[in-house]
Amino acid sequence: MTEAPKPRKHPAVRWLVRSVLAVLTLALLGAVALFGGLGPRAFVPGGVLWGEVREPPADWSFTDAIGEIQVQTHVGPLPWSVTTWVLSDQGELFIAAGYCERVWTHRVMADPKVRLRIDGVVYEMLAHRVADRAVGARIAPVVLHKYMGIAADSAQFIQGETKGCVFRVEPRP
Amino acid sequence: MRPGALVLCLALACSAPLEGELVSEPVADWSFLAGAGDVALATASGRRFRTVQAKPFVHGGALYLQVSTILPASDAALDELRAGAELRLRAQGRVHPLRAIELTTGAEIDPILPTLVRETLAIEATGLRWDPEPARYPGTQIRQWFFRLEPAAG
Repeated sequence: MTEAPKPRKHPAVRWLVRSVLAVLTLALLGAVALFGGLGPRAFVPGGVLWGEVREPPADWSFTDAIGEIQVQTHVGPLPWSVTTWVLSDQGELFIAAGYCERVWTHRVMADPKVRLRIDGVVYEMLAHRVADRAVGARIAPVVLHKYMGIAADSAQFIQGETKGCVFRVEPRP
Repeated sequence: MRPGALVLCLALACSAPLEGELVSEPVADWSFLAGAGDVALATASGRRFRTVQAKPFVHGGALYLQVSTILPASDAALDELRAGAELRLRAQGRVHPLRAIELTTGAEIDPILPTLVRETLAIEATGLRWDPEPARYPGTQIRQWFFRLEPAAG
């Protein structure tokens, strides 16, 4: 008795199944890369910030020589990290976003717990948005000098026009 | 243009000169530009600024251009401009042929800084001085170029 041949899938169905599998595999690899700790690169966000965790220093002025740092917050249960500017004034630490309508800024405003990676070292901190005009008058000249190469006697963000935002970063209790 | 050619053109980032009514007479006061929402820039050959931000702004009725980037890569349109290529600016459907004069010294750049920081960063400031390599902040500055834009000769 001869065995009946197995029904073969139509070539179009086989192509469709393979395409779906390929897309799912790529999506899975992308998710692992994004949230698994490759870290942010330039404008591309990343996931967990790996590195040696240290206690925060009392004086952050060493960051004057550092242009960009990484900030980790979270989107739901998933870690979410970005690259952004870092500012210090009178030993205090601030982080800034040129445009405040970003995923990470909204997440930090909702949950101030952040992890910062500066020169490969991770600091577990709290970040609170600063609306105080007096602090703005301290930070605006730092932004100009540090990032634009423009020294100023005095500077202030124009209320209602600035699209950016600044967060003061402090140690967790 | 055939769809295939258009796709190829987009893929290769090919350039085409800005389209619009060509304006031959010089503009005495560029203040109208602040309210023109459709400003586009390209070199005369049609090359666009792709890896840099090019922001025209008006100071004292004259037209200036700030080009900036945080990336280390070069930009072909910027290279052309710095080499003396003509620039075309399109606003309100009209195309203005311009020549760009690069500003490099504090004496040239300082006077335009109050307008620049107000227009591009929404910062009001006093006592502004061009200080591209401050000792306190070594190597943290974005790369920038400044130009005064004047009517193209001829």
